[in-house]
Amino acid sequence: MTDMTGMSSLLIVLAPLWPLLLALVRPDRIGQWLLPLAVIPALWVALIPEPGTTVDLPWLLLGSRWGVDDTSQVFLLITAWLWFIAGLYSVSGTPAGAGLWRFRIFFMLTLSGNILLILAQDMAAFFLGFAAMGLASYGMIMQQRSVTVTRAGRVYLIWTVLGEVILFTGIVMVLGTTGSHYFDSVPGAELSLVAVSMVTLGLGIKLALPGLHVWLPIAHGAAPPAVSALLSGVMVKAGVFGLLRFLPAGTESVVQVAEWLVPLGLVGAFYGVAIGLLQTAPKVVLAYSTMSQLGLLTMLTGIILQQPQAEPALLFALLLYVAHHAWVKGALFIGVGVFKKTLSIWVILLLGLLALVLAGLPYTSGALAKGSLKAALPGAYSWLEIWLLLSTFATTLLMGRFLWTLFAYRAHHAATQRISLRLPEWLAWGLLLETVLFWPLLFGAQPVKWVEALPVLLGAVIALLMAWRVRVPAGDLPVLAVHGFFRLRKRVLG
Amino acid sequence: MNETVFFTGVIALPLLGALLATVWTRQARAIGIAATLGMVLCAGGLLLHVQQHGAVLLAIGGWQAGLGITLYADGLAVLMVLMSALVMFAASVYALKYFGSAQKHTAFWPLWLLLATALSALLLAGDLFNIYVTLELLGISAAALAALGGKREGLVSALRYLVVGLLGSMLYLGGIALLYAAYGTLNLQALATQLQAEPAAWAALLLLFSGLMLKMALFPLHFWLPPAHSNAPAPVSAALSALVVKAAFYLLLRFWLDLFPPVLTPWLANALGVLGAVAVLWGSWSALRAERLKLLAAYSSISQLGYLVMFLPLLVVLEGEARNLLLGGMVAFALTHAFAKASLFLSAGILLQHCGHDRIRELGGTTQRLPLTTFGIALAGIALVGLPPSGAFLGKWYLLDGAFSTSQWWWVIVVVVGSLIASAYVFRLLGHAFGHLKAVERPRVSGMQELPALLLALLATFGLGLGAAGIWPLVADRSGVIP
Amino acid sequence: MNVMSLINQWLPLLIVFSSFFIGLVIFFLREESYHLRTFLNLLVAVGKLVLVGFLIWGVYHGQVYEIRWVIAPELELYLHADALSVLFVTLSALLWLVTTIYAIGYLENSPHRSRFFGFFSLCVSATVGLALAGNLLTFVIFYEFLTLATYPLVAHKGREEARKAARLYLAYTLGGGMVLLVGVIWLKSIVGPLTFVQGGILDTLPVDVHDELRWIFLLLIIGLGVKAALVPLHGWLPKAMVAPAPVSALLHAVAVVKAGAFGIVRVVYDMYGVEFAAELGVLLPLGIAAAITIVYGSIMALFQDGLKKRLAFSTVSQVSYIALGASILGPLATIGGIVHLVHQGIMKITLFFAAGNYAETLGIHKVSEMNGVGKRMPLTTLAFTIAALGMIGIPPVAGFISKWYLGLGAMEAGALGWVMPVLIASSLLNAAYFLPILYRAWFVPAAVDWPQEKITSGRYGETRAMLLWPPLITATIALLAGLLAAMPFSPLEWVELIAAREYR
Repeated sequence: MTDMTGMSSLLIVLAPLWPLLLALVRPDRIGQWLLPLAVIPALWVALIPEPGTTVDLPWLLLGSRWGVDDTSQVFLLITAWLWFIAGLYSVSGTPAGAGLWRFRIFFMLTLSGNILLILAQDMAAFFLGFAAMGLASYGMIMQQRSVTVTRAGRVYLIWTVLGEVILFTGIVMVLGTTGSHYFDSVPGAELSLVAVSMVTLGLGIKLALPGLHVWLPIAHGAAPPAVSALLSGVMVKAGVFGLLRFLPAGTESVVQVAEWLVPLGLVGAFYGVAIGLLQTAPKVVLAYSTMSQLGLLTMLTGIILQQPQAEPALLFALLLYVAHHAWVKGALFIGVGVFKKTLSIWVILLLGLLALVLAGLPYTSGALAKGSLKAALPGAYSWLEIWLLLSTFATTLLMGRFLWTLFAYRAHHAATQRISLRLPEWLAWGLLLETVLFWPLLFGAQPVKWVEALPVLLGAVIALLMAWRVRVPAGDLPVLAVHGFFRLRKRVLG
Repeated sequence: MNETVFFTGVIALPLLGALLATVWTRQARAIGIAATLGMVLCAGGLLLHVQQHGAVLLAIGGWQAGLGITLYADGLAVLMVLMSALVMFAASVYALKYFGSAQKHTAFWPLWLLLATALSALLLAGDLFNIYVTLELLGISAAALAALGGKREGLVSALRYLVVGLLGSMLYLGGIALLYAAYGTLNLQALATQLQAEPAAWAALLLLFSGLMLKMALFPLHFWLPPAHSNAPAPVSAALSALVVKAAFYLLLRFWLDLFPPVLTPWLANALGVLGAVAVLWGSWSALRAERLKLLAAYSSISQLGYLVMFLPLLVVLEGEARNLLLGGMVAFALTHAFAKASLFLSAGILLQHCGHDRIRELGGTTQRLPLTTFGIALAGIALVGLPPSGAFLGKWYLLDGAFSTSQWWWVIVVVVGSLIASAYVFRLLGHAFGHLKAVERPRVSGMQELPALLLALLATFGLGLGAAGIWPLVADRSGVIP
Repeated sequence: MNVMSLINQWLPLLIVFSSFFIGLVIFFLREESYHLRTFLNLLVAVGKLVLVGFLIWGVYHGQVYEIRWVIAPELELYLHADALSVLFVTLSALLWLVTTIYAIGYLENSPHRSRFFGFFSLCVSATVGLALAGNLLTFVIFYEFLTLATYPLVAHKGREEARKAARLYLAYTLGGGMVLLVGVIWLKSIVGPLTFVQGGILDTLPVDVHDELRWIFLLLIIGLGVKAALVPLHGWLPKAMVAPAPVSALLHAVAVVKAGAFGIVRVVYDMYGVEFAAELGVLLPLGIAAAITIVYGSIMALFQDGLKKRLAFSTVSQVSYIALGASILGPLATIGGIVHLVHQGIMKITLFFAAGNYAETLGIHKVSEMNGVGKRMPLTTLAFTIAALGMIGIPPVAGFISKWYLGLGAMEAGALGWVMPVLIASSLLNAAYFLPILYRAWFVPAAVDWPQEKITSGRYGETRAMLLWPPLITATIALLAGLLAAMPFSPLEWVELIAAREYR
């Protein structure tokens, strides 16, 4: 047992450090294969140690403590798995092909930061991880040299730095009240309203709160697919994670701010869709979808922070939702990468399936996540149910738009050379697809409420109609039915 | 009777040397060095003696005071004697290689040693008449030395110097005549006890002080100093600026402390202080504007003497320990100025010899080729500005301290502004030392010339800046005006 | 045993004057005796570091090191090693060693090296001397000495520009020194001996001199503020950039600028006492001046294309963090301010080393010429990057720790309302002027030719080894100082000790 604890401690320390060590390997042939391997200790930590295992590192920073608890272990699992997939996908190199080592360095730094912020049990280590992740991912975005990418990088960097500085301010204020920089001093602390607002604003930039979201579509649209997958899938979730870490749920000032988070999240959810519908680039549409989904997560976090007593069920729903969105959105982004190489109609079909999963098709993770969310909604927020239905509908529409952009892309690039996929790329995407499709089964068969599937169907139909630009004649459905009948008969009769 | 030997040595050695050098011209240099070295040793001995046993009075020939010649050495006097001996000795060493022709040497050494004699005698004289005699001797030998440069303008300024000196002496003579008429004695000790605040004393004071102010070139009576000092040969300039004007100041101080206390009023002190302040500002400003190095040094002397005079108004107000501190600071300042200014003139002489002119603007190359000389100038400059470590720093410290503790902050402003201008003129000079000459060939300059200048500068800075603590007990011990 | 106690007795003097005498010796070395000079330089630099090691060990164990020398009645030179002085002495000795190595590499084959290294050594003597000064008089003396020792270094290149800059430098610093002196004498005329005592010595004075004490505080801060480059007294600093890179590095990181900041710390904590100063109401004006300086320096830095100029304005801004920390009442702010004394030093010296490497290797003097330099000089640029991120306050580099404690201190003192906006603005501005440099260096491809490639990259790396190692060492230290901030004997831990003694 002690051996096991020792091993766990070692691996908890190793999880963020291991990628940094691997970053030093320069030869590309070995180095590229180290990308997925860098996640191994983190995966181990996500699965094996008992929750509550911590390691004290008294010399580090201001005295640091790393470890896992229930929530963070789930976050870590979600995160590490997507990193593994993204790493695997990147083994055969980035599209630009140049600067593999540089890419690896930034990859490893970002990964290390991401793992650290999840493992951190103290504020300084969290901030270190947060800052490292935020800044190093700039290097991952900047893979290609073009005006768009440079601009995207700049916008991303400005907002990231802004967010970090504001968060830093917030942390200092929280720390000033709690007196200890370990997170276990947070619950129950009576923070000032300013402190809570600062933390929320700082993390809100990661969460793409409406108004603070500018960077997200630009950066996520411009990055290489695997990087976008990571950005959209896991890194933005650090915002949610941070809110849970820093803000003591149920205290007066937190409730005040959290009450604002709910409407803000809703606005984000619909605003993202509304603008996303007007986009033409597939990845930008996906990015707006991320903003919209983050809106829902923000809303949910807002509810959690108000009601400490309902926390377990809500937290469970939140984690399900995070896992759902992380992996599906990851699969979607990587899928776009696959599609852009192969331009295959089959890939579009698979992406269509993923899109439906995201929207909440029954028997998928989407339905699981949304279902448990609704079930966990406290009484005061039962009015949100209708908004959730509307959001599902909106998401479906947006996904329809996404598929449409894929077709448009294919039509536009019909003449370009198709690139065949390498094995690791297939492997990565395939693994992720399977994950997306099968992980909900772990939670058993969910009762399907077809009413809840209705918005998905409705949305899909409308999206289809819009996509094919069906003109509805005067007299609508009956007339349409008659027309259809005649057309069918004509074809049957030849 | 050690002190008799020392007393006699300080005065008689240079006198004897002067006579011998006149006769035995070939060995004039050796005689000069030996005599001045002897002076240094005797002055040192005298200092130690006074330090241990207090002030000494010596009546030459056994005559009682009032009839014969009395010599008197207290802490203040010995310090000044040692100072002048050191400067004379250093300048003598320097002079060995300075004058090119034997003819110059023949003329120089007797006069030079006569000057040394006059200085020592003046500093140690115990009555007003002897002081008058030595003052005349000093003025004449100084003027003769100043004329040694040989150039036309040098001669003109030396002549003017002579006339001014005579005028000063006449005023002084008038003063002592009045005193003699009123009190029937010229002995300092006797006068000090009898003097009262009455018109005769006032008139005498005015005459004496005007004469001395003229001799020490206090603003606005300074006009003669810059040309005289800047045109003389380097060792002479050093002695003139460092010692001769200071001798006049010494007399002023001595009368101030020992003779005229009943007559002194704060009003008079302040008036003198204001003159000093103007001298500080005007002298520094003129030094800053000066085109030539030696002229700069000469103007700087005017401002430095101004500082010394600025001590007087505080000296009147302060009492007890604070007054002693101030007095010691004043002496430290005077000593520093002597060493630093002598060093500066000696260095200026080296530069002048080396490049044939001393126009500051064009000295850049030379200062780079003569790092040791430049270093000496830098140290002397530090002392002149009053930066630590230097005696001047201590002097200014106590001056400001006194000004603050008597709430006379206007002196503070003068000191600050004066010091800033001083640093401006010093570094205007030194700024030229940093260039990158491509081929740095170092010319041969005799160590006999560079070293005295450097050592004097070191004495002014590190010596007095760190090791001056002995001055205060020496100066402070003024128990009973004259024993 | 006897030898040990003798050494102990003379340790402060040895530490101060070892470099002084070696400096004097170096003056007289011939220009060509490269090896002897290098040997002497390194010998005394390493030796001093060893001596400082003794000092740290002794002070930590409660040993008292002090030396007194009376220079005049009531005036004594007093060297005394307390925790604060040890901090500064260590910083100086360490960075001096690194800078000496760098300077040897940097000045290879340039003229007047003996002169340079002579003054260089004097300069460090002065810095260490004012660090160990046990009273205000001693401090002032070394403060002036520092001015004089650095002036030739600024003027070293000897061109008209350098001479002008040196003259300006001198005008500012001598003026400041004069004001400081006046303040000190004024204070002395009220108080008597001005020994530094933790917690201050002025709080026992009667109320009717409080007004005078306020004026004196103003004079002292003006005098010290010139070297600490408080706006509007900072004018000399950007101009002094004409000096050779090692000089700029030393000037900005340890010697001159830090002397001013250190003086402010001394005056606030060990002369007035921070609580008494707060009572007098003089801290807020100081804080406001520091805040203005921080923001102003950062804004000015934004508009500089010259790399060293940009770094110079960054110094203007960063050094005032120390003053800011001193102006906030409370142990946490004290920690933040004083620890920045060390942190800023290490980071800024790294930046200047790197800037010097760019100039010396490739002739790069401007930010706009730095495109792609990361590929050509990766290690130098890495060091630069670490230091720059530290300046912004990105963890785990040292600067983060300073800002962390400054923020906490402001909160503790209830001064968050005005301190936090300053910290935020400054961090953002720092990012705004450093990140573009990093972007150019790492992400923009290089132009075809460098401005003037003097050292080609060869078998031994991107530039001369003696130029490459110093920034790498200091960058590592900067990283470790933040990463292992809670380690025993880290700057932070040491400063916590100082703060604990200040607020007993």
